[in-house]
Amino acid sequence: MEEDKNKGWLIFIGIGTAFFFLLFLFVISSAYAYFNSGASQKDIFLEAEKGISDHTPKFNWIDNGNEGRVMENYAKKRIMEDYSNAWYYQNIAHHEKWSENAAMFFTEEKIEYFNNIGKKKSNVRIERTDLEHNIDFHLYSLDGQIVSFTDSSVYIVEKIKEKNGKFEFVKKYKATYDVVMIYRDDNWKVRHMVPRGFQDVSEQALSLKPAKSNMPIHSVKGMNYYPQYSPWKMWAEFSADTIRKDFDIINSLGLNTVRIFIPFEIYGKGHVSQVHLDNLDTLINIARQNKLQVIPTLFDFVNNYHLSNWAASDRQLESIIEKIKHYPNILAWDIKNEPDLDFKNHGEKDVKHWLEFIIERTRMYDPERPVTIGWSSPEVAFNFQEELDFITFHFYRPAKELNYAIDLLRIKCPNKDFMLGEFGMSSYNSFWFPFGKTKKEQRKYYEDIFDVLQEQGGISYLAWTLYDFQDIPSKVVGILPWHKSPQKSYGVINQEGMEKPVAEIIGGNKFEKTRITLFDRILKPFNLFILSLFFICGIIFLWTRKKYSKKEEPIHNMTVKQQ
Amino acid sequence: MILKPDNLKIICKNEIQAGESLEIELSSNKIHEDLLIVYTQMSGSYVFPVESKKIITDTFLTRKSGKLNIRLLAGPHLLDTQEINILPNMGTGKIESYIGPKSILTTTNEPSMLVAIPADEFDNPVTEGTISDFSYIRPNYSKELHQIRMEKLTNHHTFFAQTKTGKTLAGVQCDNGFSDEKYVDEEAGWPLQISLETLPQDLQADGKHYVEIKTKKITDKLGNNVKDGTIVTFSISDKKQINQYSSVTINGVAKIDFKYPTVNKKYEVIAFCGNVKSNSMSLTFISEINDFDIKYDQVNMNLVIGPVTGTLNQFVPDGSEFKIGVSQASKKKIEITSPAQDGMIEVDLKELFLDKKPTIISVKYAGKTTLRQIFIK
Repeated sequence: MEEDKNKGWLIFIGIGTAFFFLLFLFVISSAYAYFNSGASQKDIFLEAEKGISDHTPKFNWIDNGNEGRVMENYAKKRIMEDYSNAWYYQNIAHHEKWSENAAMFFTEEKIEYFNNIGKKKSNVRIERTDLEHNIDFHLYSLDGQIVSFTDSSVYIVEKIKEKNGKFEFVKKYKATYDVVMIYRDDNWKVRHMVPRGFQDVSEQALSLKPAKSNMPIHSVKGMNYYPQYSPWKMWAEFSADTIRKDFDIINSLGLNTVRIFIPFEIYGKGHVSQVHLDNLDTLINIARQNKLQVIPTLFDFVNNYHLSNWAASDRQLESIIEKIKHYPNILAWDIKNEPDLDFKNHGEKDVKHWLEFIIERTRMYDPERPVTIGWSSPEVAFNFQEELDFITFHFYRPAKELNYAIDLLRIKCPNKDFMLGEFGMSSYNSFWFPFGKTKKEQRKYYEDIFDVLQEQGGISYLAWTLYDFQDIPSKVVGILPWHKSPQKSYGVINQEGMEKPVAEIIGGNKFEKTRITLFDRILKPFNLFILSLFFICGIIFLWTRKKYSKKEEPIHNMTVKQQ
Repeated sequence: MILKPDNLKIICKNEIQAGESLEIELSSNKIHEDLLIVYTQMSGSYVFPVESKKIITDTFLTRKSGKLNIRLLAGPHLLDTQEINILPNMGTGKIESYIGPKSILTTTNEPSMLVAIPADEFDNPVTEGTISDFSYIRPNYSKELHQIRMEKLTNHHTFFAQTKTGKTLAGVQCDNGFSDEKYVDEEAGWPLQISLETLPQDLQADGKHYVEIKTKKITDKLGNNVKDGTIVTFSISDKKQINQYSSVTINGVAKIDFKYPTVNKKYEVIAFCGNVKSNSMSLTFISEINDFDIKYDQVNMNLVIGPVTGTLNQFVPDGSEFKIGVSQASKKKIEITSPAQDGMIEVDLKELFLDKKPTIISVKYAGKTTLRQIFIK
């Protein structure tokens, strides 16, 4: 009887264990499947469809008049939107498939034709986008139901990619189309679209003009700027008073330039926020009042270099440049902050194609101003040397490495002006942080950097940064405390608003060289902490040794006695 | 690493008809395995591997008229490029045509537009400059023919309203293609004035019949009847209230049927259409009924009134309400209402608990009161 009872328990435990094992296996496999399966084709397509609002190509209207009804502004706007949407669906259909929603912007006859074409398979992927349209209306029917126009010099970029990455062919061309659209089911739909010619513009060289800034690049002494209490949130928490006060400080430090950052998404991508544009205008104006030149760094935190994002990038670029280019204190356009850091995640080719396009468009919108890119290191700064007016790179490594890095860069780019767009040293110190530097060491670092820049013929510089910050957003440096904490202390002015020793020399003023003594190197919280630990450990060691040696003494005496 | 082969060119015609097969020949027999041919047309580019020196282009790529750009690639290297002009074929079948606005006013000489897009069997608009015949039959039955040249994918012609109202029929012919028949209504403009037809007078206020109140023909300044369905409002007022009735015109005339009242009435009638107002006319109803009997049934204490008839000896309408008053000395007058049925009204006096003494019965209908004395026993 007792044996039967035990058997029952054993069976119960066995089944229970098997059940838990299976449950565990199910959970693990589900989690594995979840993290390893990519988005389905449908998901990708739905995601692509969401991007329709970001597709904002440039529209120019050639106002030659048209036959029929006088074109109303609202109708023009509506035609533009629906025509742009039609292009968007046509573009994504190349690398995805035709959507049912495309029927909103094409008549049935066109959809049927496209569907037939879509069935042709190929191992080559084609991506395409349209960036600029020039519309000349010919006919707008009296009842406002039909419109015919020529869309000339449509700027199209096409990438032909072998699916295994064997090659990639990029073509930029301008095409002209005669188009008929019909207003049906509350939308303007493309009824006919006849290509009249294609002009390859891939090889058109960018027209480089000499920089026409009102200050020579080599005389720039400046600062990368964020306000103390809203770094990286400057536009969301914009305060003209704060900027006025800070620019006054920057001026009083003996600096003549500020580099600011314009975040792509916060500014509204292709639909640029008027509020932000007005704030930007205010900032440039305040800088002018403080006799400061400004280098706006465009496209901060861009996370999409795909062709589908080019039109939005172009719209933002145009909005910003057109808004502020009339200010004489715009020194240069910095296209992008450290784009080389995106090479790995976004693909070097895609990032470079995007940069090339933005350089080209920046020159188109403002042919007068110099253009540069803020590369993350001198080693990558040779990229686009022909297309850029001067070369900007960032440097946070030991000062002694700078000379060699610049020499190397000069070999690759012999005829270009250089700018040290970001450099600096954190004066962060803590008992748990072994690499902490003192404020004195920070000043010494600046002196050493300035010596190299002087030795290299007077390279201009922009320091990082004005203030020690209280908080750094995690999206900038991540959440790890040994990354985040030092980032807070790169400022020339500490969190309490007091100038650090480096403030004396940042404007290039000559002072007696700082000497870092052995004491300066040793007397740091981490070192003192380690020393204290050694000291305490030493005392403990000595104490225990003494204690044990006292206990052993009688045994020794006994041994002696036996002898 | 894909090397760029030298001197490899595309040889093909410069111009073909839509749907025609396009034969492309390469200038060399050395076919690189990474050679690609890229066709760019209306909706974008299409890429195919090159397998032999001769390439027969699939006709789905030559069905659409306009320019066809052809590129020869060796991986990332562009070797040669050609542009083919694909011509549309002759227009056949049904021509797509649109007309609008669908109705135009004669009085303001309004325009309408006929737009046609003649296309070939592959839905390509025909060649620029192709002439189409735009034919019209106007409301006055005159025929018009206009030859219109194809320009920027459309043919279009503007025509204007004439003085006569009616339908303008329109059609387009191009090569062997014909459009559907389209039409535009050429409509009269706003009415010039409204007049009411003379109304009959001194009608019987019998509450039974209807009088037709109608306008004379309403026309625009060109004498065309206003469009059918034009709303006309009739305002009919007496001393106490104004009633409005809406109607629509048919053949220029709007009318309403107005029910006779049961009492003497005099109405003022005016018709409106937009801001245009008619003359005012009066409409009089007179109540005339013949004398009638009032009988009292002593046994059943039942009052029988009637038959009540009009001047033509017709019964008063069923349901006509008669007010009957019952009064006795030293008692408050009792008033009851009773409907007529086949000209007769019956009233049961039992429930009134009347005293047994002389009683005066009053019957009031259509403004006329008849009195009779009866004796309750």
